Amino acid sequence: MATHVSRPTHGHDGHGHGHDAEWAKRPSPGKGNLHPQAPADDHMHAEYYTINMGPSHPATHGTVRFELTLDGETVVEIDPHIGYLHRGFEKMSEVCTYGQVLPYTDRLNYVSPLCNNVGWSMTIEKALGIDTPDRCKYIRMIACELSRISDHLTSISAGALELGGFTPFLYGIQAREIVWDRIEELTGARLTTSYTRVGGLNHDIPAGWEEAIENSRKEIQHLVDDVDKLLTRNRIFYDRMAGVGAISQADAIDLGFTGPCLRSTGVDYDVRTYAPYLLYDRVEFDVPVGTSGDNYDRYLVRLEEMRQSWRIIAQCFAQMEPGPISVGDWSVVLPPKDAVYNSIEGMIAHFKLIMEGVRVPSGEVYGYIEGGNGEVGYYVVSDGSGRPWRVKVRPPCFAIMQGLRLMTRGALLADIIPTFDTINMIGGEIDR
Amino acid sequence: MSQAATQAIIARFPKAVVSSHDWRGDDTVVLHREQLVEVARFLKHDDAMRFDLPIDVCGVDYLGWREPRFEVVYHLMSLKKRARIRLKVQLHEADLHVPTLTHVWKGVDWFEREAFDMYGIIFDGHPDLRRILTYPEFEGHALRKDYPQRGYQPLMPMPTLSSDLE
Amino acid sequence: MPTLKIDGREVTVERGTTILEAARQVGVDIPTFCYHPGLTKPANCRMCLVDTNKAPKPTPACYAECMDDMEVSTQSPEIVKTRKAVLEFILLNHPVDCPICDQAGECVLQDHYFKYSASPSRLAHKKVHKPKVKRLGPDVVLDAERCILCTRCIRFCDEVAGETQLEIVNRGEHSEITTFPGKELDNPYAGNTVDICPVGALTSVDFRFRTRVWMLQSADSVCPECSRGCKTRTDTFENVPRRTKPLHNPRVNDWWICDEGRLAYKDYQEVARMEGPAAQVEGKRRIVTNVEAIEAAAAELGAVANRQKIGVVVTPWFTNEDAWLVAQLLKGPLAGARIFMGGRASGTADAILRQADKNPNRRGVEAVFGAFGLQAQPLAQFDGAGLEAVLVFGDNHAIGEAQMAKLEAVPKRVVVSAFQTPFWKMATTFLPARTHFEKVGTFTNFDGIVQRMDQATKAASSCKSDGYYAMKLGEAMGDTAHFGRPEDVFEQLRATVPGFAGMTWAALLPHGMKLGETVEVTAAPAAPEPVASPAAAPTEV
Repeated sequence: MATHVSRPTHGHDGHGHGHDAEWAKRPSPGKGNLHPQAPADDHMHAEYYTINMGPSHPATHGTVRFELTLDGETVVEIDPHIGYLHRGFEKMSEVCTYGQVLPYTDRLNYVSPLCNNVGWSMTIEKALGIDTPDRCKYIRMIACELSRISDHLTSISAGALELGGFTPFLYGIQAREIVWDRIEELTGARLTTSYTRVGGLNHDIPAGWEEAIENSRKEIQHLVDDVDKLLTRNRIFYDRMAGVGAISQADAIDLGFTGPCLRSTGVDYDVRTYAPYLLYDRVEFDVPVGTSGDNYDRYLVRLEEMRQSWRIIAQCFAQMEPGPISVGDWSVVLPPKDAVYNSIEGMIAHFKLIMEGVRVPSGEVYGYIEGGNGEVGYYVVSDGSGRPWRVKVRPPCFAIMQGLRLMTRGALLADIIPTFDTINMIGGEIDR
Repeated sequence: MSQAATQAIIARFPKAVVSSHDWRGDDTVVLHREQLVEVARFLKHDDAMRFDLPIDVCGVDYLGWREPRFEVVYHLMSLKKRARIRLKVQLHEADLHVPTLTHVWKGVDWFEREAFDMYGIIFDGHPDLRRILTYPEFEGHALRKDYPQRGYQPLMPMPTLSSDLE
Repeated sequence: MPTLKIDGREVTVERGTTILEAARQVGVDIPTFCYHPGLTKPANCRMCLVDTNKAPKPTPACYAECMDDMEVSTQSPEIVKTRKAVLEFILLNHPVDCPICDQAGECVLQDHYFKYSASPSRLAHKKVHKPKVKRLGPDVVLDAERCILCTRCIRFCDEVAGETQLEIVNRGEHSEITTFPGKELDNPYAGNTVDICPVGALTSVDFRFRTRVWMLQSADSVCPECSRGCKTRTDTFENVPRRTKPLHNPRVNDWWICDEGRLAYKDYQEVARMEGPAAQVEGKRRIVTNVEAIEAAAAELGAVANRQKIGVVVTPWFTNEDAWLVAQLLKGPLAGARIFMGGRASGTADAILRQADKNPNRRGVEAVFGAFGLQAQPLAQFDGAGLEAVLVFGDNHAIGEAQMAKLEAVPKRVVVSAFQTPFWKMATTFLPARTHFEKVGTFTNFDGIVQRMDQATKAASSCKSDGYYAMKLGEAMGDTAHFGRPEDVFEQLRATVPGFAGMTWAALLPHGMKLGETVEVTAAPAAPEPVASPAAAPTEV
């Protein structure tokens, strides 16, 4: 169910605006038009000038460049240039087997790689028409929620840092380190997890991991509470966030926002509740929503979502039962190594899966899950061979970055930074 | 509401639909380019549809597999009905024009720019059809099937072939 | 004409058609091991079993003939189970060899297991061991453990090669393939047994452990080793041919190729390749650029005002397109020159495939030259007396020392060739040529079948085809015709040479066309080019 995040009562209006009419009036393409003339009757205006922010500005993490047209300190026009991290994920996928694409998905949203892994595997499973065992689904849910926590921690702490709050940053990053330690125990890697497989998982959870998670939860909750105390009612933080970078609900929907950015405007859209995948229909959790769609709401939504994620993880562990973690079909998942080395059957299945990949029937599917940042979608066209014909990733922040124009036009130059932070653009994902 | 949107489109615009399917539960309607905007407006504004959330737009190149060579694929979602639909428009290589949907959903803006960048599909009426992931000097369209996996660009240093000249 | 239903699809076939053939007609896939369309059908592998309403038990589809009102099911639960059982049985004693097996990656057993079974082994005992590296003949090695006893190789030797050399000995799980006592698998077509072996039991000595098959790139070729012109596939790795495989062409070679042709690709790797154009600079032969070499050649030939004092050695190794461009040179700028036809000497012939004429395109070159009224003398009759310049195409001419001396005695010698041979040594101007692996073009075989071949390897940019040089020499001497691609030359060829008129470039695939044959213009007027490699840029001649 959707619950509203509670805002402190004090506050004031910010300067973010977003109107359809303004969108329609934005400059048409071409560099020349990015320098609109100052109104002739307004003697207070200096001439507009254009500056570049990024691509290697400390606040443009993920590598992005903003071409800004400024009127003094006020943003008249902002033109984000993305693509600096474009590494041809979709092109490469066309020559890889379905299994080989998986490591590339780690590098999409590199702050929550497990979500991407799960999304990819589920998309291919959808195309194959197979269902994974319950234990696999629970572990995938736990992995996703851990990823979501690390994603939100990154977003919140980096945002605090760039507003001058170094302490909450250290607390947040310390918490994220703990999450990554647990992820490392689970997958063997902190970022490049490649944990899921088409039809299951690489391996089961390690012994004693549940306990480790429970201990980590307490530690992290403590750290997050500290961050909460340091930031939420902090006057400087509040003033920089509240009312800044606001976007209306209608605009957010029309722009294709998903995830915390959409929920901050009051829409309770969450793939986990709208189209429950895995076993999200068996766990209870709330979907926090905001009211005003500003930076502060996005911050609050993320803060609350982390707490909800811990609820989900606890329920998963409680409900999980021992059992297989992969479908048993050797034409989909790799046989156990014992069978590969000691029987020709396992050897052939291994060889064919590695060399030619799992045969996905000819057709097209769109698989989607709730990533850290919103709806992560994979549109896959298969020609019946072991390699995808076309892979299109639907990165959530791609749509959200379009909204940066609406969210920062008319705001101060300095407001771009918290707004860009709460959008939480991830270079690997938006540029692919 | 499986198939409901598909049925509604077929009922309302019988001439607009080339084909439809719902493989693996994904409702898909292939449309004629001429009726695309009409159908899109209907899907967004009709009370029974309300596909208000533009999810994704992308191109697909079917070179060497089927004709017509290109497809533009739209994924839409209705928050109110909790439904999804996929629209497709098929394009021949000689005529890569498709009307933009930016005036229906603002959010398709960058997605259309990306499809233009990667496949060279022209979205007629798009307010700002520039390359987005690659740079203006980029030659060709990188995701087309006839663009090599290891392509070289004028702004990239060329490898030299020592055996070229003795 | 029985009418039957296969998986619900109705089909009417000729009497005597097997269920398998009928199923393939309607696009139903039935897995097989022992069945080969070019051989008799023993129905011993049991992989093609299908359910019919005419028999209480599963029926082998490769052997059973279609009957009226037959209803065939290839997907019934019974059959799915049967196939699993057959595969389990075949794999029971199969060694765990995929990582070291040359067949891995193109192995029918792997394909069928993965597609139709993918189930674990239930074998509780040790596997039966058999000889691993058993040399059956000069080019064939047997690994008896991998053998599934389909008997394709035995049937091939009996039925196609006509020499009974292989047999199965022992019984039950100890059965194995071997040669008859005192015999070797040494017939001139023995290499085909490796091709038709569905598993990695028979491997080629030549290809064994050389390259993993998934690293190979393939191009359709035509074997140039005799005038049969077998349709082949050249597999290359890192731009070097690694093996030759026959492709099916019922008009030329069915499924087979002789061992001479199969192994001939190696001959081209043993001779030093000459890639540098050379010309006389200040009285000495020096490496120059391509353009300079062509200019030098044109100057040498052009300086001989009396064209009758020029001798031109042509070769039956030209593609038809090369021949046409050379013919333009010979009837245009060099009209009147004396023409000599070179080529390799005759060799062994038999009634199966091999032809005595060991050149690929004599018939085509003669047809093209004939169309322009060009008469060629055999190179054996070459008499250098009175010649001031000679233009030699090719470097594999069968020519005696006396004849060679006469060639060398000609003052100006322009040579177009690819390898380091006496012809390269004697050249005053040398133009590096392409081998047939590097050309796109057509060959006409002894029977008049014109087949297309694609480029299998890329040549250095200094190496051009014979036709290109003929065109460039013509240009330098005042001819203006210019062609970009072999297809364009072929269009001209169709218009000017009788016999080619009815052909189209596209219709030459897959099985070629006979001289005088006309492509049937049916529903699709221009047969669309099958897109083999979308990235392939138009090839220059």
